[in-house]
Amino acid sequence: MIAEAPILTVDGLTRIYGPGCPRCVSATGDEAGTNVCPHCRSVVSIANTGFVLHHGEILGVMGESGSGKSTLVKLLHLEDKPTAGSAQYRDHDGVHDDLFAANAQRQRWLRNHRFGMVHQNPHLGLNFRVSAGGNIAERLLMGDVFGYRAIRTRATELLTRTEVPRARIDHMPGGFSGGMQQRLQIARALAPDPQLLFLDEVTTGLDLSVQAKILDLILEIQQESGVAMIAVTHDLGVIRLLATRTLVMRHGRIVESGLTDQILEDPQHPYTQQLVSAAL
Amino acid sequence: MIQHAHTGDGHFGFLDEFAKKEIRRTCLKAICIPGYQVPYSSREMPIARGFGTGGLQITLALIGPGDVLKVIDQGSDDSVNAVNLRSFIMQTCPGVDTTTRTASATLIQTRHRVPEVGIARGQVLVLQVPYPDPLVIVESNELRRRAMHAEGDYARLWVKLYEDLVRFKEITIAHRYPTRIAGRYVIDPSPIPRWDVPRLHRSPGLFLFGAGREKKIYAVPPFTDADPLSFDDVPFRVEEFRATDGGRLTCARCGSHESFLDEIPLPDGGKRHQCSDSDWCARHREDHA
Repeated sequence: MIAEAPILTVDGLTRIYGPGCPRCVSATGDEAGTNVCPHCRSVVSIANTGFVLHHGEILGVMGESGSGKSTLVKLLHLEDKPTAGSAQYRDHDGVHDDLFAANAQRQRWLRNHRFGMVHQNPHLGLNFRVSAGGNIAERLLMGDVFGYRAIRTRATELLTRTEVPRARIDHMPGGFSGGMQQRLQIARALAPDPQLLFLDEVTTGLDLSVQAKILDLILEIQQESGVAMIAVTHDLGVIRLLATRTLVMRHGRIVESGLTDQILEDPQHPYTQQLVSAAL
Repeated sequence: MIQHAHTGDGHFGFLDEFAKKEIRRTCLKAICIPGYQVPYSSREMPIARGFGTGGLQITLALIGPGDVLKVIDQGSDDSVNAVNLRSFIMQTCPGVDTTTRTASATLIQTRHRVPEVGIARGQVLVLQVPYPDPLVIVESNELRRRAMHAEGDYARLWVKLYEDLVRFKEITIAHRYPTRIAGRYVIDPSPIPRWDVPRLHRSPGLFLFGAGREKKIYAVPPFTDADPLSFDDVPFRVEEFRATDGGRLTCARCGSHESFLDEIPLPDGGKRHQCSDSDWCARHREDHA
């Protein structure tokens, strides 16, 4: 079997908030026990991070708040610019881009046609001033679908797929339950058939039965469409269920990475050990 | 058309020559980038902002002796705004003739209407614009709006149309209908009715849009595509003026059944309709006298 080029290759990703100084990266991190540079007080949100994501894979990113996991997703979803580093994107359709070198219009095209994002808070991912169907329509229109009937058909399809009652297509998402809002967000993210999906704490704040349904849905989608995903969470259960491989982040660095089972059964890094034992 | 001239009292065209030069240059840039809102330093005028200062500045910067000017407001040469602007331009631009005949004018300043016959090759139509940015209804932050224009991100405008179709089975934008110019920038064509939007498309004449308060000028050059936003399977429609029996309403004065009609309430509670374009109405009456 010939090894296939990964969909995403991230290298040396660094994002520093603040003035920054030459000693920022060396003076922070896991060993220093902080992500605030003692010399210039800049926050080194993420530094020298590299990993690959293969086609059809779900990669878990685990870590406490402030570990840099949300920054990682924000950077890769092109909502923010890194201080340093590169990310190569390559999909089956021959689209190949150096993400951070692309201009704003190209980045928008990638976001609209190739990426999908599901936020923890539906208020970030949905427009509450337009109907459920309108939210899906917006993504389709960004992806250059301009037929009214085509949009209605696809929106109905996606709502059925994500188990949002079809009759609620013209209702406002503000009237939906939390779980339904999250499912609508997933429907919206899936609208243009993305190749790469970012899940930022998708189940946090939902009750357990709803969490289980959302996770099932994500797994089903992944098995059906083979979309690659990066799932950020601090919930070990989510990681165990979804991810085949996991990165553990702390103070803006990857402190441990490997197969999920291996990390959960035999954690090497003291932080991961503490995390796993705390959960069990 | 553009000439320098000094008169005994005051400067020709009210604006100083530097201001005119800047406005002309802004107009040229606007013509070069169809539909793009070019910023300029809107001058203080002796009328309040919001009363047509944008259009007035373009007119004063372009007009010269030998020009024939027509000023209309809502299609009529006799409306208050038109009369006042015309008399101001007359006072400050000696040697300029005025007309009410659309066909005889070289320069037409207008508010809320495009003449019923459209504009011909060589004519310039200057529109007064209150809100130059069509994205203002979906995004309040100007910085973000400019990024949206730059990246051609108009999906949220289409969502507005989608929501209208879902809720009312009809697009409810009656005027200021967002229109894509040359397949690139979407403009707010000023508060003209939908009826007038097709007249922008590949017009032989030049359209200039001046927003004085918002300090923007943009243009639809001659023979340029102007496509009102619509869905592939829901075509753009203009006003129909149907009577209750389904027939086309006609103008009570000239009998035209092809023009944009104003509805005029009558003291007895009834209403009648007449052409909004007063010159069109007069020509039609002449032709059918």
